Amino acid sequence: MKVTIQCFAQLAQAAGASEHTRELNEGATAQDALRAFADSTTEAARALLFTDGGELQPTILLFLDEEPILWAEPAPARDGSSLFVATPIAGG
Amino acid sequence: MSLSELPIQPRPLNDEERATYEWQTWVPDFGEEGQERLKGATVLISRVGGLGSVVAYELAAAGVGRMILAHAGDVKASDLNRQLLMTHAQLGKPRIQSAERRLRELNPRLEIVPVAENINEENAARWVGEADLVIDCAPLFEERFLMNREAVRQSKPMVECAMFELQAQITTIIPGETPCLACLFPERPPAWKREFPVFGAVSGTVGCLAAMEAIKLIAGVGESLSGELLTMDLRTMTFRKHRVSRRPGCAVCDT
Repeated sequence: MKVTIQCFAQLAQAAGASEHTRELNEGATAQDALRAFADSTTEAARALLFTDGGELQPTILLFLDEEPILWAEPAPARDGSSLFVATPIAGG
Repeated sequence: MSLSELPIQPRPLNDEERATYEWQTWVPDFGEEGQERLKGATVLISRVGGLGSVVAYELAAAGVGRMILAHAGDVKASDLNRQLLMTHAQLGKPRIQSAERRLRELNPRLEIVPVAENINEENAARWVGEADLVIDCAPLFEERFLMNREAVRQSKPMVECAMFELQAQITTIIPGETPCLACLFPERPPAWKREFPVFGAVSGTVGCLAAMEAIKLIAGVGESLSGELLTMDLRTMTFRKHRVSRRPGCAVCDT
């Protein structure tokens, strides 16, 4: 099944585009989709998402099909799901 | 806290004000009563840069009675693509002076409290305490977290807006009801940089949205973005509203 990762702000810039699609096995979760994306994106994008120890950066916001999800709670995806990933931004 | 519960003492309008705000007092559910609430309100804007300039300008135009503006430093050339209260003539002069001058040209009735420093540990409690509503437009997360902490502690609604490149986001924080900034971002983002790519039209877009949120909160009209994060990508003109949740154990709002 296909899941689209929608990158916002700094993550989109680091990954080179805001929209990325990954092919995943049936039953995959949003967490699987983000891991698959991180494994095949740029080093800069990976560093925005995960710590050196492989934990999700605590300032990342995740929304699966517009609903907020927690990294610690596996969220089943479906074919055509969209995972919106936001990195923090500010003013200036 | 519903939109109509913000404790503001309305101030009666004079004939000049009735004429000035005639078009917006025709808005259903707003009327002269809403205008009197705007006149009675004090709004704190943390930084009047790209975002805050537009927020302040729109609120001055709308007839907010009193504004506390906090912004340190002098006008630089690189401010001028987006900080619409700064002008070429004011290069090298204090930003807060330029902002005050521009706002007074637009609305000479506006009471301005110019603070020539950014929000910090020493002044945050005082300025948040004097405001009915705060609007966070600061570039540094240290300032944003400080505003958030004080807004939560003093139960003041805070409109939280931000931008990057052609993207922006906004939410409204109602202490005790919605997630606070620390629920969304529990620590300082390690990769955030003080300077970043952006167009003035992007900061202007989200600045206008923040001003509209403030007007709604003060006047008690419409639905606010409380508990929702509106994100926008102006590269594709994609707007999304995401529900956001409080973080159990949040160090600021769940203690």
